[in-house]
Amino acid sequence: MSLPYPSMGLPSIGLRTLRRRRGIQVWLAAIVAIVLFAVLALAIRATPAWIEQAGTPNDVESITDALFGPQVIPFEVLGVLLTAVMIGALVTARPLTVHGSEETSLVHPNLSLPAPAGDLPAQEIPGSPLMAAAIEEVHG
Amino acid sequence: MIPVAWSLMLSAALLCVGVFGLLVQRSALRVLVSVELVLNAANINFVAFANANGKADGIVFALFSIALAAAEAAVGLAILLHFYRHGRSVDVNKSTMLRW
Repeated sequence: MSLPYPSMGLPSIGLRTLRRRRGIQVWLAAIVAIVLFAVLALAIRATPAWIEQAGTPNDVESITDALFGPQVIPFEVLGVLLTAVMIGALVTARPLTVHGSEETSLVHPNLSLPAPAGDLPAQEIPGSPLMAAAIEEVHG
Repeated sequence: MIPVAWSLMLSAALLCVGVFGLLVQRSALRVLVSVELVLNAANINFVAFANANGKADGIVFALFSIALAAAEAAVGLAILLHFYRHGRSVDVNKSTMLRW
């Protein structure tokens, strides 16, 4: 049995070869992770003991003092960033059309599945009038 | 109080688990979880050194980092959803759409 190997655009290879490559990949990843942990552990062991200072960082008051004192500008910037991210995520995840419309032709041929039986008309997802006008323009 | 070295060891172990997941997993959702593990390893370092120094700045940094991780997860999940709608799969081996 042969399967397409879409990650590299190579011609079909055997399923056994694919499984062997997967096994090699797992072992290589395990070796990389273990070596990384060993290097980090050796570095931690080689570092002189940290001189711990007395303090009460777990106190909520000290956290709020830092958050609304010297760190208030990054705190505000973070709020703006989260708002932008929320809007961006909503725009990115928003569906334009459903299956059967022209937009699905953008799907890479290696990735597309057969369309469902029957020619479904393009359906508009409820959204802004601007988006509805754009979809209307695409579909005539 | 827990010594800093123990916290650093825990952080290193978490980092390695995350790196292993990044290298092995093929589902984009699991890759996203692995990225979160790596970010949480950094957060453990922040909190450990904040406890050792007796200042709250490290904890505030960890709070910022958690917020950034939430933002990253939101964008990642949105991209994942978009990718699934296009390819009907979340296999990262098939994500050749953005490849040069």
